[in-house]
Amino acid sequence: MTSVVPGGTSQQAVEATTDAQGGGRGHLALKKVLGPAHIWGLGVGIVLVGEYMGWNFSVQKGGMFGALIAAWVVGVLYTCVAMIDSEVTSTVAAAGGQYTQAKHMIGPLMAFNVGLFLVLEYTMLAAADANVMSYLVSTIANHLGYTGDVNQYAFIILAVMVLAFLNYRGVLATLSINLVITAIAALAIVVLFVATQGWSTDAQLHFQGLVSYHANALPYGWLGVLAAFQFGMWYYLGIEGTCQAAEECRSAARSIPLGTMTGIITLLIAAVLTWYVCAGSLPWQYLGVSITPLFDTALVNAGGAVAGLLAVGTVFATLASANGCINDASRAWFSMGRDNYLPSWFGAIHPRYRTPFRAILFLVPVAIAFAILPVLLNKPELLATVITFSILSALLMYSFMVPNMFRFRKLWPIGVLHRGYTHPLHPLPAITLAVIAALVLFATFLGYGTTLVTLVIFYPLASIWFVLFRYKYVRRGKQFSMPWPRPKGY
Amino acid sequence: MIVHVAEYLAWAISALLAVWMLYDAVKVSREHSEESLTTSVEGTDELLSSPVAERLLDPKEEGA
Repeated sequence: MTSVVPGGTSQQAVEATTDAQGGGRGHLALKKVLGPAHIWGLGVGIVLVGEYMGWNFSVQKGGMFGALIAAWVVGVLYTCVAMIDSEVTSTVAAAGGQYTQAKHMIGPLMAFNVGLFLVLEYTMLAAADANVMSYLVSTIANHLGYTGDVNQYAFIILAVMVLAFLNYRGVLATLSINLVITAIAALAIVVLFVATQGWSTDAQLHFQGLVSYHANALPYGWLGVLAAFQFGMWYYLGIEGTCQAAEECRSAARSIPLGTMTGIITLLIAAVLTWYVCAGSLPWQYLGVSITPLFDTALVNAGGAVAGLLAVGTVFATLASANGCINDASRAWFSMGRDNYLPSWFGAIHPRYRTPFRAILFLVPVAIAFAILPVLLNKPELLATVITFSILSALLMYSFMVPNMFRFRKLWPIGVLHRGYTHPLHPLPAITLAVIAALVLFATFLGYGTTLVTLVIFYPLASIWFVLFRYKYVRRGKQFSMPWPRPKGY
Repeated sequence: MIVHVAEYLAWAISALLAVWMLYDAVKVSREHSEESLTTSVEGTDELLSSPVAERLLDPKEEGA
């Protein structure tokens, strides 16, 4: 055990090179301190803000039943994502998640693109969360009687800086806080269900009037249902972020499948509960455009204390999402730097806090820039474009997961590689994922064709840059350091 | 009034955190060599200590 931290204290040096804690073999490593609960908090934390706001735009597109069908169909998509990720990542104890999977299973160009999908997905989502956070501060100030304009820049930047600071100082505190605030936000939805006596359709929920007629349930027919898929993504977008923490788990083989699968179960329940209480409380014409549908439902149907809890839940869910996104985007960026897909400068680890500190710092101004853009240009609708960038990047990544899964099972069949979790019914989940991802991609094209075209131009240009200027730096042998057996057929 | 104070506080806290993180990042980069900061490799997890991994770690089997 030798020191690799010349300027650090001996304690730090020992800590940084301890086999049990850091991966050993004289390497400065990310801290292995996370358990399944942290992984649950990370995955659900990124997503849950979508239950508090965003999912309801699917009601605007497809009506009440359109939103429910979207919740189910997109729920199947994400269940497949969670199953596939749980299996593959339970063998890949490395930061970078799907980027690392692509590196091992397909090749450098695919890995570079998947890494960019990840960074864009999470950075854009963090930016949107910070923007929403400032909106919430304004709303709370107005509810407290303030009539002037709140300086949104101040609170957007504060949200990003505080969360970046947390991430900079250490992953354990960051994700422990995420776990607590996510649990409170999730519990608030259950409290709302109880407060509205959701088990009784004769009490406070009025499905007969609000949902049952065709004009409310499916106002735009099946085309509306298809269009609703795009916003159905909000119920679950980001659960795959659990994979980014694999290198920091005490046991990735145990924590990733447990945290991810319990996470998707939580989200499926939360999605249906959210739809149920909101659909039984608000007319679809209002629900489809509401900014904070759960809070509005609490105001209409549950009253003071519960509405207060939902307000807290909205703030917590937004913070947890931004926090998890900063965590995940920085891990993806760090991993790409470590393998020289980006300048290796980004692959540095803080010797004391054991976090990818340069990657975290680099992404702070990027997140702030995209968060303040809608305010700066006075175009609130740009927020939807920022979010769509995130959704489309995620969809492109899910599309990659399909061939990735087939190759994984082909190159390392069951029994050849130790898996913490083996998903059932292969190749059904991969095929289902491909079909639904294509449907959602088409639905998103209907709503945001220009954004999709922008991304379709951006990624090939980035790929050309990678091939011409970065590929020569990729250490083809050094980037594979896990003790895997030779792939079948090689 | 309270909102204005909150805004000033938000700016002050943000500036403080930004300066601290930049200061710390520069300090760490000066005190430690680039080689030492970028030595991390992909994790290996408890797979290293499992019977399966022991077989995998056999040099004859390694090579992925």
